[in-house]
Amino acid sequence: MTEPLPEPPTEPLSGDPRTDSAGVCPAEVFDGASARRHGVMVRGDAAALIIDGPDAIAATVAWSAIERIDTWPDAILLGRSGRPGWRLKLPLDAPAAILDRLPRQPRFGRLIDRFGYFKSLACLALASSLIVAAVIKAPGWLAPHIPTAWENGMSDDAVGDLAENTCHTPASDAALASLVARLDRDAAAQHLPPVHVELLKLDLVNAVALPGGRVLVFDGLLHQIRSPDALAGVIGHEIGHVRLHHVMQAVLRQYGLSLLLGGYRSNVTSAMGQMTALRFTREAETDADSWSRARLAAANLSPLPTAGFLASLESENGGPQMGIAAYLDSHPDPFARALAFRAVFDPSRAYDQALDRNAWSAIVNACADDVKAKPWTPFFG
Amino acid sequence: MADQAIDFEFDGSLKAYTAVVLPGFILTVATLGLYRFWNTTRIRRYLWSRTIFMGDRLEWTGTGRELFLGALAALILVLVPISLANFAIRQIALHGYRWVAVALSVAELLVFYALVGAAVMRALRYRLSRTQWRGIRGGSVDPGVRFGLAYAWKNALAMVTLGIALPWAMVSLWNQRWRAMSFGSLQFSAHGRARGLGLPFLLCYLAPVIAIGMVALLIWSGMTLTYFGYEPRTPLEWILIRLPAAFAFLFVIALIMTAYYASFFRQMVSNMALGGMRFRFNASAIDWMELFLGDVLLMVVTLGLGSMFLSYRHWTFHIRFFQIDGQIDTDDLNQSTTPAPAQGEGLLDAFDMGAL
Repeated sequence: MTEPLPEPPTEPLSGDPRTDSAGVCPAEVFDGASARRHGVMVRGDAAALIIDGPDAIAATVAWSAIERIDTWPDAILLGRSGRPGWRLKLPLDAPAAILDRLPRQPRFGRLIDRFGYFKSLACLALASSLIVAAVIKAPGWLAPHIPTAWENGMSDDAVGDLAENTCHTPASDAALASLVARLDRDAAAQHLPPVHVELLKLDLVNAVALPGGRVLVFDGLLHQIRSPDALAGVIGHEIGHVRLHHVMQAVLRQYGLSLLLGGYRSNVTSAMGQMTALRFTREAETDADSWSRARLAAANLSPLPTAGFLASLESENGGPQMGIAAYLDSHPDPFARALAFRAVFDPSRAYDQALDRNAWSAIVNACADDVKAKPWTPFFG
Repeated sequence: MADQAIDFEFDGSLKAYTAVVLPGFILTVATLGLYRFWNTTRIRRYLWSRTIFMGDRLEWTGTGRELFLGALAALILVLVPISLANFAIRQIALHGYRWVAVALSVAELLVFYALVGAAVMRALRYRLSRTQWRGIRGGSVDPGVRFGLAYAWKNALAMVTLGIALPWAMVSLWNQRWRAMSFGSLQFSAHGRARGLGLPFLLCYLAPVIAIGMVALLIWSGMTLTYFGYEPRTPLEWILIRLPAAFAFLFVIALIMTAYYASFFRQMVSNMALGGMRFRFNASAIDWMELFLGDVLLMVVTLGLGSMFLSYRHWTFHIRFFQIDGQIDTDDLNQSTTPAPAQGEGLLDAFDMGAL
């Protein structure tokens, strides 16, 4: 008679070959006190990880006190809460009784791990977009409420030293003042602070509006423009920026974005900042053009020379000329703008001249006549 | 046992690194840069853990939260007061007290330098305190205040002497900084000397002269082409014509500076020791130049996206050329008793100098 076969185990054996009957495996412990390596045997039960080894090292550590530090190519690294420097290097093929009870490996950070990578990414991207949108939009409704005194302070801060680079002769100052008065006629009635228009000795075809109601027309533009009416159109455009609060908006937007992106600088985000921190938005440019056209009409000045000037920015050869590049950088499509000015020309109307011959030549020659004015250079200015 | 090389090994791969850094980089963009503190931690954790010394891996124990809080603290405690001081000085200047403003500016610059010095020291201390090997970490008991002051006056001296004292300042600051550092129970020693740096530095000193010559070449290079009848018609063409000369100019200047830095770094490292270990660093100026040119190319070709691989390149570069002679008795290496700083390298980060 043969012996009866043993009963099959009541619990099915795990198919995992790592699990030997005792669930014991070798590991290494560093006690956090010295760099000595201690070889130990470890096993897991329901409550704790049991470490067998030299007396000073042997321990029973509750699962709740086990921290999963990292998964290395050759080991799983465990720590122990309240024991800085204590490390247990567990082989990757440790028994399931241990592996299954280990905490999850931290990956991206506690919060992101909890919700999952893609869900967190979507939420964070959405939140960031909302913040950027707010920073871009907010200046539009904040700018009109910034006190003029603050704005003036900003201008002094930024360009206070330009005094010796601007051109003044008595005749040119008077001519400019009368032109500005014609274009900005409602200012006094509405108690608005005056706009200061000055000529900057700089050989670039451009004009800029600065904080504090300051407008600078570059000397280079005067030589390109050839018509007082076109100068009126350009100055009208810049005064439009001032009166429509575009300058303050641009300052606030740039400040907001630099705060937002510069605070946590990285290459990508700073490049994004540069792209979005264009001086004025395209809407602002279009609005300033509209403002200019309305004021030209109110002053009974022809919009045609301005259209001609804008069209001339696209040079004969098709490509823009060197000095004009600066103007094109900051202003959208000159051809479309020229068309908009041409469209409001009324052939039946008898337009006035913006300046008489003497006043015009005083302005054009101001930078040559004012011997004290120094050319402005971006490097040494 | 005779002196033998016990070098660091690196068993990471670019592929595995990319799998670590790319998801973090995407999160960084999506959070307008905020996540970068956590991503830096992920990067360091990877690079450290793939670096093996005497059979055991290094471990980075720092956290993203530490770096974030450190940066936040620096922003509030340092950058805000500095901007306020700047504003006040400008107002004083605008109201006509020009000399008062100049004096205050100089004082502010010195304070700023002292802060940068303290930041350099504290960042090194933080990194050592979060670097663990066999459960042992590094650190320092020095809070960096005295080093900050030394940093300020030695750099000021270098400036006043028109750079002549710069090698000496760099060497003595390196020594002072590392002598304050320890790993476990062992104190670093650093006995670097300025001697031998004279010639490379002299070349650096002449660099401006060479630069002027190169600028002349730059302008002239455009003129030759104009002479042969080629007129630049757009600003782009104007620049393109001068581009080869501009690159040659940058290359020569960079090579000179790199040669000095290479010999500085080599000499400093080779005069350092920890316990029974002495260090060496064999990278030549050409090796450094390859590293930097590779960085620049990587950044240009990838439009800046390659920045995420810079840490990998720099870490592996340092591991490759770093050698250790002598030995360390691990039974004698005990845990560091230095206090572990609570926050990360915030100050350094705020000054935008956090290299790795």
